[in-house]
Amino acid sequence: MTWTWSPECRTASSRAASAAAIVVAVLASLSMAAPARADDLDDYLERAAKADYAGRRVVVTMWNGANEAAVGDIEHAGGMMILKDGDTEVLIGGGKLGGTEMPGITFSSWSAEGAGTKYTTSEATPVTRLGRSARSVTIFEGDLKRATIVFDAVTWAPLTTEIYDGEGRLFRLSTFTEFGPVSARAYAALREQASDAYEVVPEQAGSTLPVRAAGYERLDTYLDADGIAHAFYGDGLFSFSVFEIPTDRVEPGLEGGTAFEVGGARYLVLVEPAEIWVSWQRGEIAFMLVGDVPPDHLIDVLSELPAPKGRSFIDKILGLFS
Amino acid sequence: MAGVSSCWDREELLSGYLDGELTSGELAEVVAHLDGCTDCIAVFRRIQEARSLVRQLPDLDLPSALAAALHLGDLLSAYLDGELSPQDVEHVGDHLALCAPCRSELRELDAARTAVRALPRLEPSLEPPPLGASTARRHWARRAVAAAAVAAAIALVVNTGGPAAFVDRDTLANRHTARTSVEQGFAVIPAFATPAETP
Repeated sequence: MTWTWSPECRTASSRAASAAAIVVAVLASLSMAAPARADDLDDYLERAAKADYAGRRVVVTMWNGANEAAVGDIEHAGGMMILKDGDTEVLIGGGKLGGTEMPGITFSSWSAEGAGTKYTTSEATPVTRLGRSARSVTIFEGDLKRATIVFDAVTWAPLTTEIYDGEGRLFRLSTFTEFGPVSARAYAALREQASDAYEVVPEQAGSTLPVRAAGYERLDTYLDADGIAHAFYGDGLFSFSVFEIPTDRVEPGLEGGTAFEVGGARYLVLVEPAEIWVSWQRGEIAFMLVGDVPPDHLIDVLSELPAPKGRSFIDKILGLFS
Repeated sequence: MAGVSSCWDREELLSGYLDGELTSGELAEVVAHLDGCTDCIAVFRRIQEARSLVRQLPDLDLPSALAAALHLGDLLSAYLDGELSPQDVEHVGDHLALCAPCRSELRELDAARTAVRALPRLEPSLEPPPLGASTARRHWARRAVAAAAVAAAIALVVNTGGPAAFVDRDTLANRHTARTSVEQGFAVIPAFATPAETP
């Protein structure tokens, strides 16, 4: 922006007014360049959560030599999401998940969470995506570009989401290939579907897992009737669950997983289109972590959770009789 | 374990079938095979009858000095597995009628196999069995495994009140996704997707 000023043709008052205008303009331009406050991220995410739309989405995750992709049809209305795969439909939202060919699941309670101060956002930049007017927002973690989300300008649906790893490489891409700004499902119909019988997992008071791990907060802990503990962590943008399972309740290992080391400790890791799985064992407990966390976050998190610890031969023999 | 189409290892498979030791694939194969192979049906019935007879044997005693030299040892496991010839079956039956220690050992072996059926099913190891293992060694190993299985079954019952079923990964994924769906980022960060071919 270039400003010209000619003192010959200005009165004092007009000069003062011009100076004030310059200050305002400079301040405005500064606010454009600086990252927005963290609560702006809340605003963007809240708008996206309330958007109504339908379309076909592609999700790809690239990490550790794996490239895993999925394509699925989505309808989003009233804060609920329906994922379709052929004749199978899965309804997700409001702490519930149920489907045409699966038992429903929900929880007795959960904690509210905001974006906190970990992430900041850039000013929204006008772009065109799928022939539609859209806004591109970059999300920063400190100086690191962590994500770019392109929102539809009319519905605020997330047309494209790109997640980057700690070195700025694309780690996950989610993008619509077909998009419509309305859902065929009415809000009432979705709520009716969501009201079917669900298994309710009760809350557990306390956990042996840390309250905080690498910037993630332990939001809730649950314990089901079979003794499987579930701790849910979030950082305002990403989230993961850690399940603690008695070893006689879970198949050993992680089918399709590959070995992965963090700080000399060995884990099995499995990359899926929208999630990463990690499994390890510590004594009589098998741990399973699943979440959408970027790889550098994952490594930091694992280093702060209970590490793998194998059983000696004697432990195994004694375990038979304990 | 190999398939049963040639009946090559039918007795081992049939015995494994009765012991609940087969994988789901082997189980389906054995059931399908039994449907059409009269030879295997006959063997299967013989094994079943041998096991049934074990529970009906009278409690008679052989003079201990004589019995010690005549105990059946590995023949007992082979007897339970239906691997003996008709003559050997008759010999074992006669001996069991007079020998309390062998009857006791046979009952323990049978109980161990029953306990194995109560254990969670495990896929067999991909490691091939050691070459050149004699029949006697194989039977010894089976008895050791059976004894360990009894201990494991007891430990399982003591710890959990009964055999436990495995939790599958889909269940965990669904719980994670359900919990994630109340988070603000759920709509923009895909937390659930059905794997498909890379587009």
